[in-house]
This record gives sequence, structure tokens and C-alpha cells, in this order.
Amino acid sequence: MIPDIGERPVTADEWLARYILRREHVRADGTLKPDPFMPYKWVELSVTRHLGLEEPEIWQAGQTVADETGTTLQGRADALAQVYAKHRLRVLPKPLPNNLNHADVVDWPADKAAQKEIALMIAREASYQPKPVE
Amino acid sequence: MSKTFIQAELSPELVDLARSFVSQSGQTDLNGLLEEALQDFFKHHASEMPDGKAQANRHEIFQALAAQAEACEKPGWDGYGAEPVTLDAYRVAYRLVEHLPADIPMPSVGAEPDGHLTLEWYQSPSRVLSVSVGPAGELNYAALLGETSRRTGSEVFQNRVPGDLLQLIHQVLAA
Repeated sequence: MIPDIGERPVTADEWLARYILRREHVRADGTLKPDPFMPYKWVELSVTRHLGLEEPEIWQAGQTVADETGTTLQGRADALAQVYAKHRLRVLPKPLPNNLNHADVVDWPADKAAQKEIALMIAREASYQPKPVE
Repeated sequence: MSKTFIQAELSPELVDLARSFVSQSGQTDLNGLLEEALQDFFKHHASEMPDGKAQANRHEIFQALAAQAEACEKPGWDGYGAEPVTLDAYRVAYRLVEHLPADIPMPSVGAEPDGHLTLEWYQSPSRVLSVSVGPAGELNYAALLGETSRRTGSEVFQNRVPGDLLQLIHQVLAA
């Protein structure tokens, strides 16, 4: 873990995780639906930077989200920051007390159909990692 | 399955009649009984109907819609502060599926953080159509038609499936 990660800008080659907490957000063939990449409610999308985290710590951050919200962690969608940048989105560090690696994907268009188009393209490039069996 | 979401599509008279029957029969689970009767009907009679298979598939999607709406009826269902899926959104999605022509394969069902239900026609990650269905009949859709071709659109559902949407479904599912 990097203590001052919140002060480091997100670079294009950084991996970002979007935690998947609904089974139906993953298709039967293991690809991702666009639904979990739709921004809400301040037209932002929460992600977690892999930077400085060991694999178990990346999963632990997702488990914390699940525990806090009474949901079940299914897995995570990993994508490079450049996948978001390609669609004119910016990823801004936004550390949370329980997740210093938290970041927000911002600059989404206001139009919902346009958001869906971007979500489809991000989903196409992201890879799904199911939660490891304990 | 949620009573609200199943009974929303039955007329009040039919619900009363079913309730009366359930009461007389000594059973307590109205939804279970209705669901069992529908499943039994499709299992035994689908092949006898001219479009029986399509009806059976449609019934499966209705079930999936009800299950999805029920699973997302509380705020924060996605772990990120999502809005609940409302009965109105469910009703619009139900009507949209009801109005799909019989020759169109049924979509898969999902939900988005603003509480809209989604219908997806999928062939591959690069050939896919996603339609969001909102409580006031808003339909927002986006499609990928290969590596570079894309389409988006917004319409209001008025008890018929918009022609552009039907055309897109065919395009996405074309070989």
C-alpha cells in the first residue's frame, strides 16, 4: 500500500478494478455486461487502483464494499486507465477512509444513450476476474 | 418471487378470483400456485400452440424480469448506491417484451444503478444491443455493430416497439 497514493495522478498504464456485486452483470460466457459500468449518481463511476496493492488487498477492498452494503462480491472487472481515457473520461484519485486506492471516473456525457455506448465499449475491453474460491 | 411484481400483470378481477380459489383450496401461496399453473401449462401445451415455443420463451423472460425487479427493489442493490427498480419500470419492461414480435429471440435481463431495467441482445462483445427501460417509458439504447460501427438512440415506449429498435435487434443478431 502506498500511503500518499491519493496525491499521485492516475497514469494510463495503471490497472483499475470495478467490483462486481451482481451475478447477472456477467454473461454466461464470462464477458461483462455494460450495466456495471454505468455512472451514477453524480455521473461518476467508482473504481479501485491496483497500484501498490497485493492481490489479496485488491480483493479485500471489494469485500469491504460488499460487507458495507450487504451485497455479495462476485468478482471484479479489470481495465487499464487508458481504456477509460480513450473515451474522454478522466480518472481522479479520491481516497476513502477505508480505501486509499479509490478513484472516480468522471466527465461522462449527460446523455444516457451516450453513457451506454461508452459502457458497452469499456465492458468489451475489461476482463472479468471471478472472486477466488477460499 | 415478489407478489407485487407477479400480480402487477394480472387484472384485479383475476387476482380476486385466484385469491378466492386459493382460500377455498386451503393453500396459502397465491404466487406459487399461479406460477406452478403457468409452468405446467407451458410444459404440456407449448408444442400444441402455433407459436408455443415463442410464448414459453417470453414467459421465461417475464419470470426473469420479475426476479430482477425483486432483487433490485431496495436502494443500494449494486453496492454503489443504486436506486431501486420500481414497479413502473417493471411494467414498462414487461409491456415492451410483450410487444416484441414472436420471431425475435428473447433478450437477457439486467438493471442499472438509476433503477432502470435493461434488455440485452447479445451475439459477442462487439455485436450487442443494450436497451434501458425507465419508469416513464424512457428507452435509451446503444449498440455495437462490429469493431467500429455503433448506434445510440432514445425513444419513449408507446405500446409498440420502435421500428429503429427492431431493426437494430435484427442487425445485432445477423450472422
